[in-house]
Amino acid sequence: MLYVRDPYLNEMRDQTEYHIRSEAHKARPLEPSKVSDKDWGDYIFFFANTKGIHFERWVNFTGHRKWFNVIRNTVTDEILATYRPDEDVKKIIADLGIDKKDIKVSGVLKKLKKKSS
Amino acid sequence: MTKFNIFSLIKNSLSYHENWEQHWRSPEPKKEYDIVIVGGGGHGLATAYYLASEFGITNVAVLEKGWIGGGNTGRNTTIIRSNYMWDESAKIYEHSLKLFEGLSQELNYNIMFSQRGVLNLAHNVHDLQEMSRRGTAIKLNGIDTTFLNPEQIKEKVPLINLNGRYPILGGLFQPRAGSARHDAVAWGYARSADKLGVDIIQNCEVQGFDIKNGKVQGVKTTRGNIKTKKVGIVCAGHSSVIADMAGFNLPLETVPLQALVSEPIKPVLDTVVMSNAVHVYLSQSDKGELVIGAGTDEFVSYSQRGSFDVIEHIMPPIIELFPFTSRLRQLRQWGGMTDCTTDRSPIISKTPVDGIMINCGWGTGGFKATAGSGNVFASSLAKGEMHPIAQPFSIDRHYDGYLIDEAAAAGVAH
Repeated sequence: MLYVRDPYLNEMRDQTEYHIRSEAHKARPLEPSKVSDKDWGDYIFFFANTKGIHFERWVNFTGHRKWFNVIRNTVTDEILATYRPDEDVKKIIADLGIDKKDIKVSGVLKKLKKKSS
Repeated sequence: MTKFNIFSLIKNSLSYHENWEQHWRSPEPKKEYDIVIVGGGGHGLATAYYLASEFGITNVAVLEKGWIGGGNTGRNTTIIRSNYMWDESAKIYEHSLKLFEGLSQELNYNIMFSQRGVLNLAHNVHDLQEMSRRGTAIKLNGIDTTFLNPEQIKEKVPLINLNGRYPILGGLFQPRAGSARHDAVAWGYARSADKLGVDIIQNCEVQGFDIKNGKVQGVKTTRGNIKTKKVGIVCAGHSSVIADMAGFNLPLETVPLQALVSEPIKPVLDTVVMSNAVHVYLSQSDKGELVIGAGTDEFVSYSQRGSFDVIEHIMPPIIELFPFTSRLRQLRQWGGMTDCTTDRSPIISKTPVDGIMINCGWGTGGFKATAGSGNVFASSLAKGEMHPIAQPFSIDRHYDGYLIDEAAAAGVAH
């Protein structure tokens, strides 16, 4: 069972007050009707499933019902950071000293990154 | 290799059972193999065995990071059944069940397959309607199943509480289902595969693949590079990690699944009882322990540990349905890492890399499929074309939308 700092309440809370809803920072295609079946499948079903540094979405369901993100090591289950979606994730990654090589993101985001760069 | 029978038992008893030969060799890896299997769990060992026995391909290596059968093969609740709703699932699980029925003889290894039946419970009208739909679908596929009323359930499982917090309105029973000794399944396959010439290489971690022009050329391991043109990845919880080394992604999330056993008691339960609605999953081992399957955690984890709240969640309904368990001590509890797909059906498929095939995504219910999965995967690897039973389980179903949605039709909801 995990013990997590809720970034809205700014206090430690029990994991059982939250649902954990898969990978964070997966960009939903802006116009789903225009993406190919391949890209849509990648977005819906494919996950980074990282062994190590994992970005995930949590939602509180017993109180304020808001969403936030968690960075967790999936080998030790240690929670490294929690942050609201409007916070600057790049700064949090830099502050934690996480090497960019250790960050794995799934299909669509990878592709979008490639296109934009 | 010694054939196990009454005569070899008597012969070895004369030397106080100190001179039994080793079950399998521990060879050094060769420079090159026809086929390399990544992962020495039940499914990987079964694949290697059927490659050798059915297709005569014996220049095969099974690479295992730890020791064989030390992962999910040794961590499950040992239930074997084939009462799945969809046609695609019914075919593969029934194929597996049929192989299990003859496996002790075929491997000359007692896997202790006990066809004690599996009973699914219905607690409300919706459960009954769902069960009626599923049971009928199962019957249409020619798989044995019977509907039981509460009186018949009480007769079969006398200690069950029919009128508690979760009243029992009916049940679905598969008589040919049951349980087997999970370690023996791995050891039996390993021993027979080894006898046929397969190299089982333990303590050998795969660290990467040698891929040229989209074709696999070899595997990089902690015990040197191995050349091969064909690779079968069968490594359950770590499938995404290995696929990442080969440069592709999988529709999987690895989550912990827990199980626990009680102290051993006298025989009280001679079948397997499952309830989808309240998550009861109970059987009694030959040692007398009650074997209890718990649920999965919601989060991705490779820790081989689950959360305590999951166990807290399953104990009240078990005590409600079986009041005698309230003062039973739980002795051991453990977790395994299950690779779950969104539709809770496995992936047996070609991959974007030519020469690499993958068999994964068995999620929370892979043990029962060990024999069938290994059999159809061996055929696919040997022929280079997916076995007809395996075809629907392609990765591509996540693109064309032909999902095999067993999430709601499984024995218990995970």
